[in-house]
Amino acid sequence: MRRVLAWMLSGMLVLPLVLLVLLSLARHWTWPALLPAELQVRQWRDLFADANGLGTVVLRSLGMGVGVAVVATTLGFASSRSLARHARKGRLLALLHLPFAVSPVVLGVSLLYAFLRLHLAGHMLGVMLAQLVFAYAYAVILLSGFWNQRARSLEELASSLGAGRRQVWLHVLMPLARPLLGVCLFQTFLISWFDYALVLLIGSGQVSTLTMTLYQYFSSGDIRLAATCALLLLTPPLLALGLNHQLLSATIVTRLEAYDDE
Amino acid sequence: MMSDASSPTLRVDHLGVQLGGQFVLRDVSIVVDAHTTMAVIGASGCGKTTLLRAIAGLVTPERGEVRLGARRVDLLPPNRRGIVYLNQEPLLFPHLDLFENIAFGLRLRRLPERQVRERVAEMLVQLELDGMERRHAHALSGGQRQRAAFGRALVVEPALLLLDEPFSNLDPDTRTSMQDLFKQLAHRRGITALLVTHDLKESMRMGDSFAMMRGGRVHAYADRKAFCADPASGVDREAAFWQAFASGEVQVPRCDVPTGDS
Amino acid sequence: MSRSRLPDPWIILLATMTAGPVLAGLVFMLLYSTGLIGLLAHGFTLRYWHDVLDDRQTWITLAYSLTMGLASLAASLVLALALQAALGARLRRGALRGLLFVPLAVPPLVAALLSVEVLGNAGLLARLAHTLGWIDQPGDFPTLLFTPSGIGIVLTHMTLVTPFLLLLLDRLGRNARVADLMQVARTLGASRWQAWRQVCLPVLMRAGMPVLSVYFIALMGAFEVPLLVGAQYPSMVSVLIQRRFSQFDISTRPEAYVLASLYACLAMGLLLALFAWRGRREVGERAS
Repeated sequence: MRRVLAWMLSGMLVLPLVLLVLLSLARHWTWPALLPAELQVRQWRDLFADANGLGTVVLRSLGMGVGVAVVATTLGFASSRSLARHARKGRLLALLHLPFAVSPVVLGVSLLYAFLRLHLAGHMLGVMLAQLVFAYAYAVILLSGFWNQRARSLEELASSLGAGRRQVWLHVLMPLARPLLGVCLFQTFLISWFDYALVLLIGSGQVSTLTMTLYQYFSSGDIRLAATCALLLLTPPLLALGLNHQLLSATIVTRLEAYDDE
Repeated sequence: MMSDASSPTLRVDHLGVQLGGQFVLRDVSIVVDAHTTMAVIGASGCGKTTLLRAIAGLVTPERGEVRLGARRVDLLPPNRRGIVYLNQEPLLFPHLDLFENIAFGLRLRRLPERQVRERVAEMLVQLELDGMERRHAHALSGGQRQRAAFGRALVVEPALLLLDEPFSNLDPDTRTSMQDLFKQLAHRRGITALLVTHDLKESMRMGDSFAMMRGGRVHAYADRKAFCADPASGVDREAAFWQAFASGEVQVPRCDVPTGDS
Repeated sequence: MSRSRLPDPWIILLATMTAGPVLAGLVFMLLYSTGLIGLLAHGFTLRYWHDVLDDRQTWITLAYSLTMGLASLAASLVLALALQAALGARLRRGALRGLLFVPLAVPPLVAALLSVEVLGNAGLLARLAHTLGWIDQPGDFPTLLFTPSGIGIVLTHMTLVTPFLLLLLDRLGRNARVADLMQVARTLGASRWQAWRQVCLPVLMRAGMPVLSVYFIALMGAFEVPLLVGAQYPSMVSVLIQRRFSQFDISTRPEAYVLASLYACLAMGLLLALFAWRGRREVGERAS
């Protein structure tokens, strides 16, 4: 009985991917057929030839994601250290959650005017800045779990052995934090890569990312291309998953530790 | 379902337990007379914990029988055996305060509220924890937690109490007072107990009968003298060391560090 | 040696880059919606606030968002607890555990797309029912999407949230040593069910409450899923705000700002209440 349930669950977890692949390849797949009548790889070939401009879109989204990830993680790492040492750590932590509480739509709507005045609206940079609000907050929350007693002890130990500040960072803290920083880079990348609301509102329709394109294909009824975009969207995280699913599981651990200041 | 009013004799016959394909317990047979405490001594990793867990029903043995008095308990689930297993660490329920922790077993037996209050209050006094009823586990010290876990086990008046190195986490003074407390309560309530430890002194202080565990087998001694006399138990070696130390005969080896003068 | 009185620049950055934009945006929306600034501003007025607060749709939308958020989280939690109880060890090791991470790689947009293709009236499940002879027309299949009941929204959220909860519960359980605690309960006389209900469940819920509450607040403000699979009316609050805001006629902007401000205050209030309650509970437990 349990085995059946386990197999069912496994099937349900794999099915979406299979379905997306079929949808992206299907030519005639209408009611009531359970399987597509015909499969073709046209849009995948088109993708590589950049016939729909999808290639450019992917590169743009990638660039934005990487940019946001690097900035958020770097700033977040330094900020989280200050946070961990701060007397009002609990209150600051609450403050950090504000963006997530109000939701991207509300943030986008409230900031658009300011962005327009600053000539950031409708530009990639503007969208990235808006995404950075969430990514940076997330990075600080995630990385604050690093600055526990052990890290602090090692820091002090290194200083007492004569290491200067730069050396302590380069040779002690960074290597120790490397796995967590990897997780942070990945997760902040996803915040930008998966974002739709901010790109929609701040980008004002002029910044074309993969999520925007997916929605456009979906609402115009082109499920084939929508599924293709979906698969492209899933590729980086699935790849990372294949390489190291610590990247995703570690986030759960360290988010818990960030809340746990007993 | 529950224990008799008097604690019966424990009889273990030819118990064999396999863990991960290996036989941790080969052929264990012991008898613990009613109202007495047997101390089983053995090195770490020899299977002491497995023995206790098998008797408690937390691990299923491959073969053998366990009897409490006239009842055969190895076929019963752990909650119906009347055997309480005390872990090495005081695992108090974090979501309950001290009072509720101790009352836990009593409430399961659906005792009337007044009785529950009386018995818990009495136990708290004996444990010297009265006044701390509303505290939660994380607000108690290590020694207090150990006492609390103890009280939680004793208050249900189990037919058999299994103690797994119960005081090894404590500092020497607390350990001694806990050992005294155990002897006091065990005597007063007529508890039958099986204690495993690697600490020789602890076994001597707490045990009425003695056994040694090695290679998955248990060798029981006829009496305390036999235990002390057996060179394998290590008692005489330890005693000899302290005697020699006290009389100044012990040679402390010196390391050859050149000091300039001989 | 006296300590520098200057505040840590990193802390300043922290505040200005996270809470800063949120609060600044809120202030802006309040000013605009009361007519103090903006293209159509004529001076302080509470007209827009009256209109929105009097509008039934406002309250229905807020209530609907709360309900949907709660339902999504509760349903996912129940499913996760049930799966954990049923499958236990299998979820901790092996292929199944690896597969649990796949949904974490799926964004809400894609999940919504899949919902449409699977749960829709002409979707995979409907076609399966047709093949099995249970229905004839797409219309015969129960309508799960685009309905006011919001079933489609809840189901889609379940596919996203349940795997995360499974991993969370597993991690929480290990941290809190739930397995050991349950064994203690058993030798004290608890049956399997009693041990689960009186020890496992309360310990997990207690430990998970912070994360779950934040998750709930985020679910309330969900956008992509209700956008793709939700009904036109009632909408969830993020969808409504975006719809009102993006209308060509900018005279409705102030109203969009009112709704957004209202929701922002509600969500922030909940968040701060949550953190305050947590802090107070911890202090209370430390005292005797």
